[in-house]
Amino acid sequence: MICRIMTFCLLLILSNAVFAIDTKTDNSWWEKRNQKSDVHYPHNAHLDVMKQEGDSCLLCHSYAKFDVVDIKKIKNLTVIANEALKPICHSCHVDEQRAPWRCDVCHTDKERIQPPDHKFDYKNHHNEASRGNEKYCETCHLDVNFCTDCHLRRDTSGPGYHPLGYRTLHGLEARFDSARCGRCHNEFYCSDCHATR
Amino acid sequence: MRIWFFLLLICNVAFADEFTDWQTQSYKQSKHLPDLHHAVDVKLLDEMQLPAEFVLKEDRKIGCKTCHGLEIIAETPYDKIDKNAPNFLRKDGYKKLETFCSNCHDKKAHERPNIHLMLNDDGTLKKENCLFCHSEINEQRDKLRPLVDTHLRLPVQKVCLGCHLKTPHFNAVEHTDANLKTLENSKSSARNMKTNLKKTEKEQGVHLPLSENDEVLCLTCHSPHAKGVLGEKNPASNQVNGDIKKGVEYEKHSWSNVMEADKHERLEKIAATLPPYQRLKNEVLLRLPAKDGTLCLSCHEFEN
Repeated sequence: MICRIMTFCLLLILSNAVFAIDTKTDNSWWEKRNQKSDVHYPHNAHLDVMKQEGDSCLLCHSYAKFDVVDIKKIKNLTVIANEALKPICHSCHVDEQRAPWRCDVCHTDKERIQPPDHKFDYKNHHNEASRGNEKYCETCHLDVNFCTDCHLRRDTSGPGYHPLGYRTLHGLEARFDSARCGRCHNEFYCSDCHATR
Repeated sequence: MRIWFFLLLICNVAFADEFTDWQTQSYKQSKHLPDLHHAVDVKLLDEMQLPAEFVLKEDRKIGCKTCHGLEIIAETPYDKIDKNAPNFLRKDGYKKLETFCSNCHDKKAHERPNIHLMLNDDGTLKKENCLFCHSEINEQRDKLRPLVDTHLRLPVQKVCLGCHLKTPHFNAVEHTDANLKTLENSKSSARNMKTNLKKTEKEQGVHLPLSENDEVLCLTCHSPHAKGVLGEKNPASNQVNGDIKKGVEYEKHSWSNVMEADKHERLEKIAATLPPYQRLKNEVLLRLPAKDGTLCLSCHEFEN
């Protein structure tokens, strides 16, 4: 009996939580369209190009005939049918690059598309993976500048990787672990300044 | 609303032991047939001839194995039956449900006329087709009349459903469930839908009717009357120039494989398939063209 009362109380709390969410949010998918929660698709920007591709809205939103009569099932299917089609978006934005190809143009939250291994200081430990499968990196990092911005900048100074004022403070770290500096900088990068003094 | 939810919870707790779902049981256990399923244990008339694969029970009665090729289908719980198995239904199965029925039933005898062909060759009205939906024929065809004055035999929300499914195509229910009056309170651009619709009517000279309560109807987008049935001055006559005898036509598209690959994982989770990706080739009986988006944009607008 006590168990049943406790279960009922728990359900009461849960139901309150459910309704609290319901009243605060709108569950209609189209209401969330502009929140850019997943993929941002600016409809107006695509109207003309989609027309040129053959169909306009129907390119993504299917109005195909269907035999299913179960409303619940067809609603689930329609949501899937209406969802953005990755290879179709990528055919222009990634493969052919005739549309803006920066990932964050559409994927505003990069964590949603980031591979799981890209966490925990991956920036400093990507060497092995990138040498192992360079093509895999290029599926997202389309611009070679993404690599060269760091790797070819070893001989010029400037802001970016190191915090502000690091030029003045780098001595201790360089003495402590000079091999770490050597990952990016060659010896001339040091001697250019130190030898002239 | 909350009270109902609590009552539902209490009922679920109280009757949890007694509650059973027929879908987790086999036909033999539940004796329950899914919706729209053909009756079983019906004795066939002698004149009805079935293809050899369609096995009857004794006394020419229909059983599970008459239509289904799966061996122990009557003993298998409904949720465990593989509906995608090639022999789930004999012959072509679900690929085209109408043709499956005509394995036994005479297709010609069950064919219905296309009542949307309302004109004789000489341009006069096929009055019997008008009277299929209307109880009276309107002689003043140049004048736009409100839906309530069109003497429809059924409520305007249901008039198409005698012949067509409530789910005739994707995104249909999403529209017919919508009420533009309710959407006026929306925070998104959906609040402007009715205003946009009225503006389009004015600009394009078309009629995009809503129900009395501002519900979206099949008739909002689809014109039931072919060109020439209503007078030219009547905005309800304006529509796309499609071949009504051919009907809506689609053509295959190379993106079909791409779509299947992209959505496979999500579809697998709900054990469903999507029809192939196709492009619209011939659109008919639409008040504005959908192919170039004009019809959609008569209501929808986007912030960017």
